[in-house]
Amino acid sequence: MTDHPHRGGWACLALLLLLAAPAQALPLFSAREGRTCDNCHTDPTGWTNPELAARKCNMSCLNCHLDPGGGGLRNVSGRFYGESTLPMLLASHRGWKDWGRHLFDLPMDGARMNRAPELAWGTPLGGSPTMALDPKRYAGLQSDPVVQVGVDARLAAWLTGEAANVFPMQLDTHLALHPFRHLTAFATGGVLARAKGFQATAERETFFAVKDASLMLHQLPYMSYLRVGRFIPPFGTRLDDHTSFIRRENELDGALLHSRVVGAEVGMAPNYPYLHAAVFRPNGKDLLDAGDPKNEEIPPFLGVDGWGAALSAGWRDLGWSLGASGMLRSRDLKDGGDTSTLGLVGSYNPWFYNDKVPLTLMGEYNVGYRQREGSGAEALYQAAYAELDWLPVNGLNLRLKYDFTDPDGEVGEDHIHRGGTGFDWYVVPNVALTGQVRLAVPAGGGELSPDGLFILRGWL
Amino acid sequence: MTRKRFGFAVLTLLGGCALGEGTLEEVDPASLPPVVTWDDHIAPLLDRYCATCHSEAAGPGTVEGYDYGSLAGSICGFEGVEETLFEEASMPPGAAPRPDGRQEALLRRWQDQGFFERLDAAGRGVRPGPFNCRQFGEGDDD
Repeated sequence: MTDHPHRGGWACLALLLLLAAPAQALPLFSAREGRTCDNCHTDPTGWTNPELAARKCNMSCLNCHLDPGGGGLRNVSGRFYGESTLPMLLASHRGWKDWGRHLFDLPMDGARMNRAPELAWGTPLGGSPTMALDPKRYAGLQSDPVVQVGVDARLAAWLTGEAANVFPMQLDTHLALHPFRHLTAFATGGVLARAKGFQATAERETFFAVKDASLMLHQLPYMSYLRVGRFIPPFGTRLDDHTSFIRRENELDGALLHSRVVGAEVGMAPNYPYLHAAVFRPNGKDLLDAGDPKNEEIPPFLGVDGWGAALSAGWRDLGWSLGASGMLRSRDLKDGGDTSTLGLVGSYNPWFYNDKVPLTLMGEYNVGYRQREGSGAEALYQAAYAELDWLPVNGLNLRLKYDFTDPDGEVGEDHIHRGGTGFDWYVVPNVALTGQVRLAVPAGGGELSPDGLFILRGWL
Repeated sequence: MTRKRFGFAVLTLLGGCALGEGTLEEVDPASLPPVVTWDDHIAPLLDRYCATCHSEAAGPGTVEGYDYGSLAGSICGFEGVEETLFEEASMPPGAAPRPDGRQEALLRRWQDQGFFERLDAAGRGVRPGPFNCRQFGEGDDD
C-alpha cells in the first residue's frame, strides 16, 4: 500500500486544470532523467561504472530516441520509459522514486508487464554490439531490432474567444531498418496537416511527405554516431511546441518541412558532456510566396543552394544542464538570406536533489542576425523561453511557460511577451492528453486575447 | 560576424531586452515593395494568419462574418484587420503566429494604396472589378 503525500495540493491542482495549460514535453524528460536511473539500471545499488568510452548513460535525446536530435522513433530505453515512468495508470513498472506518487493504484499497475503492442522485430546480422542497449533491462522489450515501425497521431482542438476549431494536428509514420550492427536507416513521413481542419488537409495538393530520413552509424564508443540525411540541425532545445519563438524564429519549427536540411552530422553523448555538429545544405525559409496563395508549397527535398553549419555542445548532468549552440546559414536572399545565431540553454531539476520538490526549470536564450526580406539588410533578433514544471502525481505534469521574441532590433514595438499554463496528462501507456492556455502581450499594449489548445495524442 | 557586432550581441544577450525605435518604413524602406497587391503579397499573408478561422475553407467557417480567403472578403472586412491587428493587437489570438513588422507594413501599404489586386504589364497596380460587400454582411457596394 502506498501513501499519498500530495493530496493536500488538490485544490491548487484542480484550479490549474481548470485554467488548462501547455503541453509537449520531451526535453523535459531529459531534464528529469537523473531521478529515474532504474529506467535502465535494474540494480542501481552495487553498480560499478565501466570506463567512460563504454558508458551508455547520458541525459541527451539519443538516450531514448533513434534520431540523436530527438523526436520520432524511440529506442528500447525510450519505449520502456513511456511504458513505465510516464503513465498515470497501467504502468509496466515504477521507478522506486515514484512508488509513493500514485494518484491511486490499479491491481495491474507496476506488474512488470508491457501492455502496448511492440512494433519491433529481429536481431541484426552480426549480433548486437557492446554499445547496444541491454535486452535484459527492459522487461522483455526488443532492445536492438532489425525492423521497427511507429506511428504518432495527434488530434487538436483550438479554442479562441470567437471560434472552436478541431483539426488533425499530426499523423506521422516511422520506419527503421537495422540490418547490420552499427548501421541503421530510419525515416519519418507524415500527413501535412492544416489547422483549417480536416477538409482543408484532405484537399491539399500534396497530402503526405517524407519529413526526415537518415543513414546512421551508431552504437559506437562514447555514445557517438555519424549520420547523413535530412534532419533538423542540432541547435538549442528541441521543444515539441512549434509556436515557441526559440524554434520558429530560428527556422527550427518541427512542424515545417522548411526546417529540414540535408547534410552530415556527428555527435557524442558520454556521461555527461554532449556535442553535436552538422554541416548542411540549407532549406528555404518559409516565406510568403506570390505563387502560393494557400501556403501549400513543398520545399525542395534536397534544400536550396548555399551552405550551413550548426554546433551544439554542453554538459547534461543528473540534476542540471548547461550548453551553447551556434548556427550559420548562407543562401540567396530569395531563399531567406543569411543567418547567424547563438544560443544558451540550461535546466535545473531540484527534484533530483530533494524528493519533496518535484519541480523542473528549463530555459533558452537566442540572439542572432538575419537578412530582412526585400532589402537584404542585416537585422538583429532575439528569442527566449523559460518553463517551470511540476509533477504533483505520476502521469500528470503542470507547467508555466514564458516565450519572448524581438524579431527586429531596429524596429520598435515589434516584440512579444507570451505566457502560458498547461498540463500533460499521460493517462495510460502511449496515450496522452495535453492542454494549454496562452496569452500574448504585444508591444505597446493592446487587448489581451488568450487561446486554448488541447491535443489528444496516441503513439506506438 | 564582426567583432563589434559580436560585442553588441553579447551585450544584448546579457540584457535580454527589446530593442529598436521607429517603423520598418522608417528604418529600412527598401525592404518594402513600392506597390503592394493582393496576388503578390496579401493573399498568402491573410491565408497564413487569418484564414484558419475566417474563410470559407476553414473548419469554423467565416467566423464573425469575416472572409480573408477571398479578395472581396478581405477588402470588405479590412476594418477587422484595422481594429484587431493594428489597434487592439488582439488578433491572431494567444500563441497563433502573428504577422511580423514587414507583413504589418505590407497590409498598411495595401490599404493606403487602395487595395490593388495585381500589377499590370507596366508594373502599375490594378484595382479589382466591382463586387458586393452585402454577402459579407456589409451594406456598401464597392
